[in-house]
Amino acid sequence: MKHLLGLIVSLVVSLVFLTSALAFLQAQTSVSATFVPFAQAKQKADQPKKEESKADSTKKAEPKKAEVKKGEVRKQAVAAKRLIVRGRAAVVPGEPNPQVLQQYRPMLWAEYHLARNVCDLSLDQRKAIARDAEHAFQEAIAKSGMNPQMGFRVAGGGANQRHEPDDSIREGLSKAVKDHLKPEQLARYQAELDKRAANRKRVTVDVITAKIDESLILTVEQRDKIRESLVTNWKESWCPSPESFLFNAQMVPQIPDQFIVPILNDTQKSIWRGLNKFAGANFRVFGFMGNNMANGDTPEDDPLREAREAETKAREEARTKREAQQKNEAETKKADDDAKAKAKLRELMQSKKTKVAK
Amino acid sequence: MFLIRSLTRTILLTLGLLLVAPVFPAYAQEDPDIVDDVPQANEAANIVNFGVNDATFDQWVFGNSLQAPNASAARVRIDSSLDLQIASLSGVTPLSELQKKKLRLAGRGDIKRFFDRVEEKRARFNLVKNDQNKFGEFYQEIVPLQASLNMGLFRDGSLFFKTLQSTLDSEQAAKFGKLQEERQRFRWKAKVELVTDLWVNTLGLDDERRRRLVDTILAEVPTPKALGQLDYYFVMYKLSQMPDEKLKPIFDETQWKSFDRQLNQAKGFQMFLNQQGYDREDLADSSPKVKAGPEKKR
Repeated sequence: MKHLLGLIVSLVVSLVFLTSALAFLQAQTSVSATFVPFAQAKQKADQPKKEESKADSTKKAEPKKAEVKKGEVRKQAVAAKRLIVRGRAAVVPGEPNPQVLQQYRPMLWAEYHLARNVCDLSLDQRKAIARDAEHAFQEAIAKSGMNPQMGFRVAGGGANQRHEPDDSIREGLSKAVKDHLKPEQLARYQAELDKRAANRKRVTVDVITAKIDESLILTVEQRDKIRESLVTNWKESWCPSPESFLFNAQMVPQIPDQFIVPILNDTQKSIWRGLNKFAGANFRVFGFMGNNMANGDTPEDDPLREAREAETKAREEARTKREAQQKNEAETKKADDDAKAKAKLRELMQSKKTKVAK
Repeated sequence: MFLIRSLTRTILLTLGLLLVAPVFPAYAQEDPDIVDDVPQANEAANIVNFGVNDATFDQWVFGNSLQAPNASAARVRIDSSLDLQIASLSGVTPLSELQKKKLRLAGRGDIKRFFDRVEEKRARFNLVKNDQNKFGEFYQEIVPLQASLNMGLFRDGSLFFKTLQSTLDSEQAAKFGKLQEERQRFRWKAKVELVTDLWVNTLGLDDERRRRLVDTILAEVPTPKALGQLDYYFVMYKLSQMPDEKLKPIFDETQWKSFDRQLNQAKGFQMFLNQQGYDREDLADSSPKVKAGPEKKR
């Protein structure tokens, strides 16, 4: 009986102590917590310590690791860090980001199909153009070092302003097509490019005029005057991607007042002044069609598909070869360093023996 | 002796309970790995600390549609828009002072109705702005307000529009109707050309194919009463209603294969566009059915 009583008392006291301790700790935190079993938590806490001690012992046991060229390591680390955004894995420096490739791929399709239809290309021409275009395309994106989170970069100003990587891609693709055309094909292709550029300018001006009309309720005369003013003074930097109006209709490009305000009445002027106008960089519908047309919806014919697969495979093989070479160099360096270290040690031992003998 | 034994038992029991009991939260917080395994703790903290700025409501309702920072600025903008509507009408056909007064009154009625709806939603916003669970669903309640502003407060169905029909004589109404139709046609054509240009830069359509596509859309799809924020999806949806025979000849085989797949996707846009405020009549299938041969099901 006594023993039983003692046991009960011990149990009660233990429970009271435990409950008080828990209540005290809960009061320190502002939330009601869910507890992880202690054993599991302990296991996780111990794991890094176990790994550290294992690493330490491994370090001691292994010989000193070879040094890789410091400059290369630092460059790779900086490049990799630059490419890590929001937890995405870094793309190997010098290689095109797969997502950026997908987003920009419509540019390649457009150039290829335009040339194919306008120039009536032979199969050999199609294969050659697809091959060179794919290479130029992937090379331009690789050189840009672009990842999906970056916007395009604007460099230079005035007539020399460039939008990258768009301009580089366009130039590369255009060259890849033109290099394989006969003179009469080239003339037809260039004529189509000129029509496309002229149409794009006209469409952009019309869309912006329609947007201004929506906000300012223009008369027909005002609308025609604004349209004419924009066509005459147009700068592509005002709105590089008019497609943005299809998805964000409320934005107004930052068009200088001098081309619009003189045509407006007083009420319209006060509304125009109150509108938020956005710089050209905001008018970028980037990647919509490329992302929309993934998973087999693409207008790839056989030459395009074969060129893409071949280029990707070639880059993969080049990268594997490069990595193997770097690994060989590192191992050779390690062996050299080991040999030098051993020679130095032998020298030291010899000189000590000599001193002792003396 | 008894006391010593009891004490020993107490200590042993306490240690035993500690071994099987949950770990303390302080311990959990020190180890980031364990914190990751305690999502409810973090969620509870977020719920307690959750709160949305009052300015967010105005930004959602007015910021995107009117680029107005708040309700007052939006009201000024909409009032000016009403003046412009009446001025535009006067420019086409002279209006008497009484007609202008009636139209102004009707327009203000539309503005008041709209802002009454805004205040109703603002009251709802104030109830949920500190409740993360309820707030997540609230944004959908704002969408109809945004749609109203995007489509315009004085369009078909508004007090302004009804007053216009009853106030103007037949000659005035005809001139105004023509003006509105022409304005809407210009906007619609600009959007159609833009969508086509998107496909030019994706599929590499040459100039002739581009013109044929634009002409086909303008001929087959009636000019919609109102356009909105998602006109790409609207155009694609209307294209998806057209028979293949109208569109397929415009593209080459590879281009058509891709374009047809996009049209298949577009068939499902109706409900989405409806929610965004696109007119039901505009969304209705207006394409004439081709009589020869069975209709291809996508």
